[in-house]
Amino acid sequence: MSDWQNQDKVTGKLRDKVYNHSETPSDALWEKLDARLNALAAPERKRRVGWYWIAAIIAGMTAGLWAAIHFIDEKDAVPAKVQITAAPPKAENEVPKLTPELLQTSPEKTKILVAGKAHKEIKKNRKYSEKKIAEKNKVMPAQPETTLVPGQPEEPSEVITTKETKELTPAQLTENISKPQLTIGDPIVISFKEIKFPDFPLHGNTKLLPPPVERERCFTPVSAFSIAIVNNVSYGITRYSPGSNANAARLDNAKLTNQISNGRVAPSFGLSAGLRITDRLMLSAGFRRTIYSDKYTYDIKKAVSDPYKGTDPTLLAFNYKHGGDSIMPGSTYSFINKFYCSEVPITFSYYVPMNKRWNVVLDAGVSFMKVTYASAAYLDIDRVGFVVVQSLTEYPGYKMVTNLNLGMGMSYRLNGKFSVEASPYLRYGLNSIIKDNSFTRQSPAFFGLNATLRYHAF
Amino acid sequence: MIEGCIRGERVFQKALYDKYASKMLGVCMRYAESREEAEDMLQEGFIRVFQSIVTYQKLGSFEGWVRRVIVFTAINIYKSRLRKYKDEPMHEHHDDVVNEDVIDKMSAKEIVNLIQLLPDGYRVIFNLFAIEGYSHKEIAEHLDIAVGTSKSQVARARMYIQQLLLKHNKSLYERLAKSG
Repeated sequence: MSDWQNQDKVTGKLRDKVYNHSETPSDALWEKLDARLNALAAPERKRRVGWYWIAAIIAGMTAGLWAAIHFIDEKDAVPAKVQITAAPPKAENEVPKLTPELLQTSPEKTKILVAGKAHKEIKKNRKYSEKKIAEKNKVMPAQPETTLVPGQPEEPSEVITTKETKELTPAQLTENISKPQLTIGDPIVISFKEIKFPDFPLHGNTKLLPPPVERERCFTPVSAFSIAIVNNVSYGITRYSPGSNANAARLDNAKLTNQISNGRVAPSFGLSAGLRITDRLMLSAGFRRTIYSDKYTYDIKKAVSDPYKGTDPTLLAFNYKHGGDSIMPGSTYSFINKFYCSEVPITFSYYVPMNKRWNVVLDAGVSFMKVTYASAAYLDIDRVGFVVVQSLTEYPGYKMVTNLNLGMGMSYRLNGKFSVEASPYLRYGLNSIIKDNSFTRQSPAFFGLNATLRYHAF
Repeated sequence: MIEGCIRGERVFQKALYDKYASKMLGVCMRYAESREEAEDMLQEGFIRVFQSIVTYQKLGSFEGWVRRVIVFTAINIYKSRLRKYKDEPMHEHHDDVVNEDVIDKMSAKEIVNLIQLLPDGYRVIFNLFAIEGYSHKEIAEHLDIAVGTSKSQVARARMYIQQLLLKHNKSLYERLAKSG
């Protein structure tokens, strides 16, 4: 018997002895495995929590928007209505000459106004009236016979209605004029009774006031400093091209190189702060986080040579760099990348005012993005003979990427402090998001919509 | 049980583990240097079994499928440690041929312990070729080596294990002689 024949027999005996050999694992092994399985399940929960965060942010933005609008309305509005006696205005912005007739009230002509608006307009015109009175230095409010406790300007007090009306004689008027002018907060003595007197001590006689004028507020497009919450949803695609790996040129798969992958929706969330450069130009910088996944299928049926060796046309060994997995012709190799992008965008925004609230916004800038990527490989079990799934935590990689950002949209100023913006945008990756010495370069591009809530600090 | 594992239910995963852990630890013992390393391999292998069980298509034996996953997990762990397939020096050369009866006298555990004494490269290739029955072409594919290298490594591994068997046999005779 030759050595080789003997060796085969020895080998055969060895195989028979040990092929079905079994040993009892330690009791602690299942506990360790259980803990590992729990840890692997944790990222799934985190991903679900991530969606809850996005939903919470959107809800928060909506609530903030509502509060911003509602805050202004509430500030100006006073819930009660109050009757204010007023004579019909002769002409807009015209202050009538003070005559004894004017100092009389007209009880039947009353106008019901929303207290808040009335108060606002009265307050606005108060200075104007005082100025006019001071200039003319002729007319003083009539000295009342009764003393009223001045009400709080913000909260209308009761409307005091006296019983009878009495005309002032020229002598009484002259006597009143000679008295010093009252100041805010002083009690008012009314010299006649039947007058519907509003709750504002100095200006009971609203005949002195010009009529309310609706005024449109005008906002500068860019504030000196503002902060913004920027959410966006984008559709991302990846452009593939051969990488600088020595074996990349031998990778024979037209599906993989110079192709664009299936797109994936990529939500992102960010914060930014803006500084005014000019009245229309703003420079902003911030932070943005994007998470997305990308999948492509490597069809081995079309591969005819071994990209590594090039020696065996019937056997393809696509030896994945870290996992060492091998796959064979006739199988389908699906590959999934998941990308976690942390980005610092620097953007110039140019505002073109359309009217007092609306602006067209043009955005241009660059962003510097750190990409953490993870991969998962799924092989066809029947043809390959084994399956390897790379868990996300096992295969991390890092890459710095520069993006070009362009956008154009509209901005609407809600009030002095808040504005909202919506702008379609393009984020174009200038370099590969995975290492250049890989088999492929993968450059992403995103088309999306930015939704921004901006707080104008000052 | 498989359906339960696909759903990720821990009760079924535990049942699957209980059923196959002993056999698979026997497999891992042949690829590892020590029991601790074998248990690590087994743990990693079961993680991959549970992760990829969804792709099992019930066309062959489930135990065979689990065994393949465990074996390739062992290979991947081995490769991830960047061990190279070097030609290990053969310190001694014996012309003696091991009698197959020697193996009959040895227990499976003793043989496994001998296999564990093989250098890394020899051990993996010997296991894949001699025990699991993979062809040189498949081994070359999985280990990223040339077919010729696989053949020469198997031949050297066989010689190495013969030396180990002779050494074992010698010490066995010495022990028997001492005991009278």
